[in-house]
Amino acid sequence: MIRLERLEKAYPEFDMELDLAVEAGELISVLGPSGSGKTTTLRLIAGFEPVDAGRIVINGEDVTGLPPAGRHIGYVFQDYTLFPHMSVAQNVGYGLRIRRVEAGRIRRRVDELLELMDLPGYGKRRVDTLSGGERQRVAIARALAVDPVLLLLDEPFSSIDEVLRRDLRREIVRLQRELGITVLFVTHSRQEALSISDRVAVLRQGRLVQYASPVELYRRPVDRFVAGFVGEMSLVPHDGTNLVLRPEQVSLAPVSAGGPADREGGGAPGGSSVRATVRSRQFLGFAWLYELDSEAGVLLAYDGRRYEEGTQLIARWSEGSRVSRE
Amino acid sequence: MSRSLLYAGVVAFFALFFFAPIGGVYMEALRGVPAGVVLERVRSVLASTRTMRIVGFTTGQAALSAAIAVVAAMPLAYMISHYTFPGKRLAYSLSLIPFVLPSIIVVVCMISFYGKSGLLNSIFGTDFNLVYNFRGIVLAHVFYNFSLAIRIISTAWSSIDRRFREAAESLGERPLGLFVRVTLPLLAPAIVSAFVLIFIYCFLSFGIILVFGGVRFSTIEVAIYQETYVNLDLITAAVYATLQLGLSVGFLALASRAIGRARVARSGSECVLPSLAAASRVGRVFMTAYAVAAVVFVLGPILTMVARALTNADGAFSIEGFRQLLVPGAADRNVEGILRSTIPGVIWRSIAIAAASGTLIFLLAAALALSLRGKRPSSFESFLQLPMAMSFVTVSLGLRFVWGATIAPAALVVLGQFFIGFPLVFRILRTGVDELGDGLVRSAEILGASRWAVLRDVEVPLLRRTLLNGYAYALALPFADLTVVLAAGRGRIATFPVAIYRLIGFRSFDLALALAVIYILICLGLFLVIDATSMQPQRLAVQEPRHDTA
Repeated sequence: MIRLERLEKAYPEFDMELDLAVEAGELISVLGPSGSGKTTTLRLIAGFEPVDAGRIVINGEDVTGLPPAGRHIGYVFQDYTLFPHMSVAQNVGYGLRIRRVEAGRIRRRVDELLELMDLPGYGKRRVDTLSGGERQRVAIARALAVDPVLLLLDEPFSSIDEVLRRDLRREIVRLQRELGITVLFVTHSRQEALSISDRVAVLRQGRLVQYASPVELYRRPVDRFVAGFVGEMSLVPHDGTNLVLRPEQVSLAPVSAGGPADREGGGAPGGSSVRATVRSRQFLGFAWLYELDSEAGVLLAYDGRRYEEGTQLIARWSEGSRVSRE
Repeated sequence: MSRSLLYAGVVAFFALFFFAPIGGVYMEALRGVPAGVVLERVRSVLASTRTMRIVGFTTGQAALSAAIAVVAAMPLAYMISHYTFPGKRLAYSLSLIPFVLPSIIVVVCMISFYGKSGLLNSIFGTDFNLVYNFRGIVLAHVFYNFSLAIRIISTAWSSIDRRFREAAESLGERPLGLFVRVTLPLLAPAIVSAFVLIFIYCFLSFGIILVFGGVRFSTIEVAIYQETYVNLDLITAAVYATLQLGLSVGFLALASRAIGRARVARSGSECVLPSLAAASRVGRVFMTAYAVAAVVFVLGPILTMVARALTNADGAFSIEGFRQLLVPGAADRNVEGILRSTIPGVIWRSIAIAAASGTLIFLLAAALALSLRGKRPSSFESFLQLPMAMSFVTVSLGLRFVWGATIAPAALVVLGQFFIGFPLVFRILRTGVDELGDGLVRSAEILGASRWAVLRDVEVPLLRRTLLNGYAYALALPFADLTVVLAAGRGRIATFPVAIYRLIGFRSFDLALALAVIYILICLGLFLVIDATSMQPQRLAVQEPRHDTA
């Protein structure tokens, strides 16, 4: 439904080259560190920047050379970018006014959207009287008003506090399911990407490094960079490659109860146990995150029991995923 | 503690040298006249058709001049805020020159370029009279204030977040709709404030009207001057001064309401401007042609005047005027008698008085701007802007009445000129200081820096450009002043504008031109020095880091 074909864009200190295909009705997150090209990708799709080479195809139509106004795309900016000289209703109805929709119909559609965004009766409010979360919902309503074929969200929740952000994330998922629209969502938060997406595109320095479902990304990262970027992990050498261990894959047990401390083969690749010493710990609420020294290297593990620093334990794991690439 | 001391000092300064003189004029006007007679005179002045005509003309020409300046500035403001092009920075600096020219030099420039025997008429073989009439007045006012409009509007235009454009475009907006529905409303505060500022300057216009208005056209300020010095009717002068103050304060108040209601949209990130070559072909051609026309409009009259200063009566190249002025004993007439001073005396005195006034203006404006950082505009600030609305003929006269016996004329001139430059310089510094924000200063304070260390290590380096800009205006406005020097200096003090005025009065147009050129060269030198020292990459440090590339 959306295809980016060998899309190229170069800046003085950055260049990108990207292939990406998104199915209709999918919610895709674009995840990456600062400077990876996430926002650039969105801006190219929206037409805010010209591409150097390649094609952007939306619903079979090549839109590469079209101005933003001709692409039927909704765009939501990080800091809302609501027009300060218009009321909430005028902001939401703006795109319809451009299309010369009759005033009564605009009013009904705006009310409907404000209802949908859980902002009933906000129409007459001035934009600068709204909270950050309310502004962002108005911005989303404004983008949805013109029935875009694709909704682009550029780190939409990064200026909003944590609790509200969780609500808005749910809201996005609900909307996307209800309206069946295709959404491309840029974020640098792995939690955000993993929790709401059908698939996640991980970018690094202008290149797509992995494009997979959240579960696949977390369980089978293609390299050490992706592995580290999408979650906590420790890396142990195994058969000439590296094994990525998530903290929940490593279990801890007291030495006395654990039997012999030497390695024993588990079922899955790299299953093993090793003697380890608690180096430090962090309380996370549901468990402690332990950092341990062992002969296999530094290990991370969750455990509900409390161990003091320096305690000798047995660390065990039965599965892990190989990464060959560094 | 020290802050309230500063405010109290400023209020006392205003009371002594601004309000007391104005009061002095009223006292002088009313002395020995029975109340009934005064009321009858006030009534008859206000009811006269002459008053109606003067007020109508003053308001009408100011509104027209300001409207033309603002509309004509829009394409250039767009060009400056959206593109880079060769010579942009230089043109931007030089464009301010008309604004700091004394009105008497503007008059000379306009006559050289647009007059009956001016350059335009001789090029086209026509006989249009564009000076000494209503058109001439408006033309001179637009010439005077054009670059001010460009500056205010282009600054606001560059600060409009480009994402507003992008948001609108993604919703299907086309260029014309974008301009009408988004850009214009966001620019409105800047447009209104440029309009009002220029309106007020033209409303209070003196020198240009004095020369071009003849007997037909008179602003309120010129009428005050005539009543005071020609008709010696202080009561009528006082009525006009009150009327003028009331009207201009009213306009300023209306404008500040309009500006206050609009919400400002500031850009979160600095973006690199594309070259003009990136514009569409039609846009490029239009903008280039428009910019060339603007350069001709601003520089044409000045260069023509310079060229005329360098030619003799036969049209051949000659530096006779400069020789007569600068070489002792070379003059074929009694220059010192005309000027009532020597040329080195004029130069030295002009610079000394401007330096004294400018430094006083700058120090007080900077101290106030720094102490008001982060505060919302208050009535105290409106109070500080009051001199902008006042007749300087009146203030100068009052300074003489109240302080003439105790303060030397040169010092009186400095005090009077303070109020000419202060409102604008304070405004420039206030805006600049506020843009720097609170964070960096607070960080320095937390790290243990004293007030002086913060000033030295944070504010002065980061505000360097704003401070230099403010200081330039603080020096240039008194340097160009004619009104206060003439009215408060009791004819004893000859600065550049006074000397040029006297030379024209004695029909020594050739020497007046030469002296005007010397004046412009000094201003040019000042501007180039400031331009060269103000380009510092340090301002970049204030920008917030961006999240993502591009």
